[in-house]
Amino acid sequence: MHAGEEQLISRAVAGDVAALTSLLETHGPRTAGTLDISPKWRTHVTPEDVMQVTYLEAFVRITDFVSAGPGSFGAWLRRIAANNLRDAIKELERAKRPHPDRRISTHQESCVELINLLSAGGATPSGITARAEAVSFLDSALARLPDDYQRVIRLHELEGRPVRAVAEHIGRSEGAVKMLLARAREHLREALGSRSRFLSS
Amino acid sequence: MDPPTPPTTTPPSADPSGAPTHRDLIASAAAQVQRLRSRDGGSATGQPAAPTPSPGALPGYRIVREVHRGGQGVVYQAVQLTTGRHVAIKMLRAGPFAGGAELARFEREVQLLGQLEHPAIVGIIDRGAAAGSHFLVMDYIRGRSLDAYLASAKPTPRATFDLLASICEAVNAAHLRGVIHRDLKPSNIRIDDDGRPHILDFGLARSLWTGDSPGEQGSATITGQFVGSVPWASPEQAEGIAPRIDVRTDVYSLGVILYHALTGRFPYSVEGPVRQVLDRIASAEPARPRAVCAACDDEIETILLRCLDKQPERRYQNAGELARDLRRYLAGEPIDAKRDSTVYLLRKHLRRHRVGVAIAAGFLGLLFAGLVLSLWLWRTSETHRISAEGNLGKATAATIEAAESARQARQEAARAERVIELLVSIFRAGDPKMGGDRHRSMPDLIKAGASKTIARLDADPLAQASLLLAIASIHRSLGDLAEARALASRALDLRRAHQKPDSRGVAEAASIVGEICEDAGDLAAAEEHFRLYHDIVKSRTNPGDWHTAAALQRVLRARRDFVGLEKLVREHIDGARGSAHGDPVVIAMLHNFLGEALDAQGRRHEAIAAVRHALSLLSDPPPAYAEMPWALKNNLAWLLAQSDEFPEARTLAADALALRRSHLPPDHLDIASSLFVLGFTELRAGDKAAARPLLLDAHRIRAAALPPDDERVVEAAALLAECGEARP
Repeated sequence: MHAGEEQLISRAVAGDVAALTSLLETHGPRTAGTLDISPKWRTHVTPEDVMQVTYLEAFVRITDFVSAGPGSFGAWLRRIAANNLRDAIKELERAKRPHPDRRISTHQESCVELINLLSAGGATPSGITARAEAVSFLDSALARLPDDYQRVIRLHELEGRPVRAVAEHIGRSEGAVKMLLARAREHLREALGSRSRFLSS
Repeated sequence: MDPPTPPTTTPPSADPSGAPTHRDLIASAAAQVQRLRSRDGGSATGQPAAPTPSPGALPGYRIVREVHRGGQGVVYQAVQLTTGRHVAIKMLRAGPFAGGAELARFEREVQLLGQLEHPAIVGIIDRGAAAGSHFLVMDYIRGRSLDAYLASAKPTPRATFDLLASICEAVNAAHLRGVIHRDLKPSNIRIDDDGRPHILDFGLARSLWTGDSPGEQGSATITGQFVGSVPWASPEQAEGIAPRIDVRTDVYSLGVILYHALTGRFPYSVEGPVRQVLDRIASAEPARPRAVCAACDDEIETILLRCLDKQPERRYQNAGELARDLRRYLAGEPIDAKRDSTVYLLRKHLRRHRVGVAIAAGFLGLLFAGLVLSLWLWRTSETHRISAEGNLGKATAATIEAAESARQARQEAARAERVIELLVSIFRAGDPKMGGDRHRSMPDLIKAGASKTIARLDADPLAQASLLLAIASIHRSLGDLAEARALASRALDLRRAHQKPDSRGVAEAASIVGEICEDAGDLAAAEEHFRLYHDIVKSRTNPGDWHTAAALQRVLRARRDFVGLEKLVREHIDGARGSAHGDPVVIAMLHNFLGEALDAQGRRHEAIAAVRHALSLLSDPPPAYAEMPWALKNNLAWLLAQSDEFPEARTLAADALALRRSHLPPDHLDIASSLFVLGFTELRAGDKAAARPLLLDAHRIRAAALPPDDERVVEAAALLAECGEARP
């Protein structure tokens, strides 16, 4: 624990990008070293894939971080990274099962529901109205996500490109795309949920 | 607080392999987040958004930290400097308050909630504007959301009931102020460290969401849009019928919350595409709680299913009723929901009777009877319900005016209690299960119950007036119009003596007296009372107020004052156009009435143009008004046939007939009406052979449903005679 680290952390939590950048440059490579990727998946997901999403998450989530003393920032970052890896592998395994798209758990105001709404919904007048509403709803929520997240949601969920095609398109591994998708959905769900009462704005 | 540093610019990858280094990845993430932030705040405030406002940006508050960043804005924890109180500050985007009217409306709700000071409602304690954004200040509640609390504290079913009853009581307190939540869900309910509930965002959903304000009673603003959070949404929300959203919508959501708290699942599956989930909410029967929950007994199941009824009128009528039943259950007393069947049957009877009464009115307007009724019956029943239950729900303008202090709110609640008590005692007396005398006539029962209660209310003339109106409407529904008129007139006198002459309460009583006079055939008196209502309501709210429009138009039509009707309808059209809620359904209907008034004055071409315009407004009617274009087609065909425009008249009438036949029972009067218009068209076009079977059918249906001297039976017989048919 460096003497100045607590100070860096509080600056980072307050929104100081340089402070967080510096913290991540210290802790990121160490965190990457702790990732235990089973040989089975090593061709599908690399530590860099995991860290790419982990860094993005760190920037998005830093305001929620509450320091619990020395070491807590590193632990926080490792937790994010481990979650990302776990989700990537979960998604990769899921892809082997039939109809992967239909297996996505849709809960509460899940973005996936809304996306389904875009493609389904039928041709009834209320369906069309709801769909038009959902499109603008989704657009405004998407605009609140980091670019990487927006891109995978648009390519995969909205344009319907397979994960592999998305991976090629953005020059990333499939595992990275799955991870980006998982996090993107999560943020989108939050953005949609919190906007649900403010659709008319 | 440091201003945000610009994103770190990192040279391109120095890694010889060409793979991005950690430094690159971090810089890319930083840049993305930075871009997002500047976009986030930039559009709303005109300046890049700092992660937290700079000191002094929110005068009087010190920001502690950012709690949440979401679509509606950012929530901060802060300290109110003058009091040291911990508060949550919600910075709102400019969007929802783009118009001054929305802001004013929102402020009114803020004010109402502010006066409420209910310990379980997180009211807004301050509001203001900074850097172009509005912000709201509310108490900061330490604790957990309801679902997190239930998951970790694992209270017993009884404790859960007790907690939910407290939540219902709080919701009811807001309902009494005319504020509907409409987005109740566990994440909007926080449980503090002492286990006490606090409900967040009251009034926000309603005022920000639809712009449908309580002051504009029943103005149909947005239909076909989903409002709320999916799993807790009510059927009326799932169907996107904004005008049907009222206090009972909250009752439904409370039912889902309770159901989930007790059984750990939703009443129906909420997995899958949103459309499917919404369809399930709108039509699937909830899974029986006893089948999925060991702790649920028959009474809990009754309570839950009553909350979750698809029809709002079969639910608890407000959160207070639900709270009372939960308390009764906890105390081992019989629950009220068990009386559901009796109350429901009576309500249904009242409605049915109203339909019968209204059907007797008007000629061309009759084509719309069902439609008009569906619009204003709702409001009428609301008005009655409100007078019976103490200014709840949609007549919130009345509530807002009446409930100007906490004292008054308490009085109203007590008044509502007494009125409910009486009604319940009446229903009970007529319910054989309750041991009452089912053979006593309903008027006797009412008189017996009413005289005692009215006498008790001598000291409270306004409560007396509400009760008199409630009893008057029951008498009216039972056909005792003289008694109904006497009672309602007494109520009107009482309100005139004790309320401002232009108050909503006086208007409401005048309208009820007017309706009774109309039923009794005293059209002059009806007009006088409707005018009084109209003048009061017009002076303070939306001139397109449909209730008045419908009532006054009906009377003018019945008096055959078509010049007066035209003038009034044009006034209403201007009003409806001018209001922010120029609902095409209402405007179309008004144009139809205009057509009728013009036609009656012999101005048929103008009439045709008016009805044509009405039809053009409804190319895609909201589901609840799907039948309206059929009626408009029929009317237009009728007018065209009279102008010898046979081909178009024939097409329209045949179209209306086909649509009605495929959707209505075979002997429906609307079908007879289409048959009549098509028959008339064929007859005037010179094809008696084609006209005869149509008119025979129209006559048969009408003669079976209507008295032999009814105008509609007579006109069908007259046309048959023209076809050479002997008088049937």
